[in-house]
Amino acid sequence: MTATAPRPELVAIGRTLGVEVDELRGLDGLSDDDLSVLHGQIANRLSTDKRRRFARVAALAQSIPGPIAGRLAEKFLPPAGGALAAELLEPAKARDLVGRVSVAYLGDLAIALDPVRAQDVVRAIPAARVGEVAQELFSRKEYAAMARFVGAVEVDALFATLGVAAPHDLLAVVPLLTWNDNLDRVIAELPEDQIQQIAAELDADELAQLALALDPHRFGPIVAAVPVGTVADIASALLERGEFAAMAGFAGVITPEMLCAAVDQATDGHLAGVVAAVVSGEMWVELDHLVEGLDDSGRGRLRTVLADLPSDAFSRLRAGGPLGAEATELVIAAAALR
Amino acid sequence: MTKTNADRGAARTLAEVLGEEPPAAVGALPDEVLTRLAGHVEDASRRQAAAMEAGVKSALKGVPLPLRGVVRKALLG
Repeated sequence: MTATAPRPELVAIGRTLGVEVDELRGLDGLSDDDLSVLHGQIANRLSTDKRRRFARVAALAQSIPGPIAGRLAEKFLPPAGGALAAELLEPAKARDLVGRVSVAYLGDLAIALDPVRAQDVVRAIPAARVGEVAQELFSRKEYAAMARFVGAVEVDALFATLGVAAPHDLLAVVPLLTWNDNLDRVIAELPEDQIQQIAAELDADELAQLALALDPHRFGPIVAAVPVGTVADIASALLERGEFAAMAGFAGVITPEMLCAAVDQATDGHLAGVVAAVVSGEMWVELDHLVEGLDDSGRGRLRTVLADLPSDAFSRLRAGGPLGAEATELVIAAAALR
Repeated sequence: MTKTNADRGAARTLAEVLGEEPPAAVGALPDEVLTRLAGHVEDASRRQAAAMEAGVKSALKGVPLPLRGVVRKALLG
């Protein structure tokens, strides 16, 4: 019999306190939310101690000339302490100091930094320097740190950050990002050469992973740069993983030629999965795209799948909508077959 | 009369150690659990302070002598 793994919230508290989970007995009856709040309070208490200590370092950095402060920091201040001191710096001083220490040291600081507490400082750093730090983090494959860091920067720095990402870096970091309007804008405005590079360097399975991490309309420009055969393979990868709702969304951003190639590779079971996802998610717009993009052969297969739907799902389909003319016609034809 | 969490010694101690009131469900745990948890937090704080002090002292050895005094004063008070 397998032992039950300890709850992640208890593991996190144990790690912060430097004790084994066994020593936290009595807390296991608490809800995840209460444990998360408690973990935050413990972490906050311990970091308050550290910040008090490193306030002295920040004060020292403010009072001595920038070139000396930069040299001293890099030589004698471990990154974890430097990050705590950095949170307390005046943004203008931080802007001066980041130009005086190496990118490698800045990379270490970015990993140790609390991006929420250090947000003002991070936003004071010139976008070009942020791009250099991003490149350093990507080269170390520090994607989780990168994702935290990205959440703290302004849109110009975000362009600089994701602009230096190689396709495999993007693939690794995008699923970790917390989505916001700035990020949406940067992804929407990825330069053409970067899109071409993504389409050329990622294989179908990797592109399917990216499709799952991005909103379908943001994935559209990328998929437009991919050969038809590869698009069909992306669809197969999504269907093999059972990502039927994602496939329905994906169908809305590909050309009819790509869609027909994708459906040609799909089994009837896959199509049934997509239709079930469309009905349960009330994805009527996606169903319209799907039907409109298919050729006669694809529509024939879809009609058969619709005709075989369980009664309750078919009722929801007929009651749902509004559907476009072609989808409505297909549903009527399927009803006649039932 | 029902005692609030703040009235209980162990819950009050934990709140003092944390610097804020923990969630109500935490405050309602048995005293033994709260006392042990407060002890863990204080132990972690002491270990962290000792590690930081040792790290700073070790780093100071690398600071050029003319600057060591001012850096030591800034870091250790």
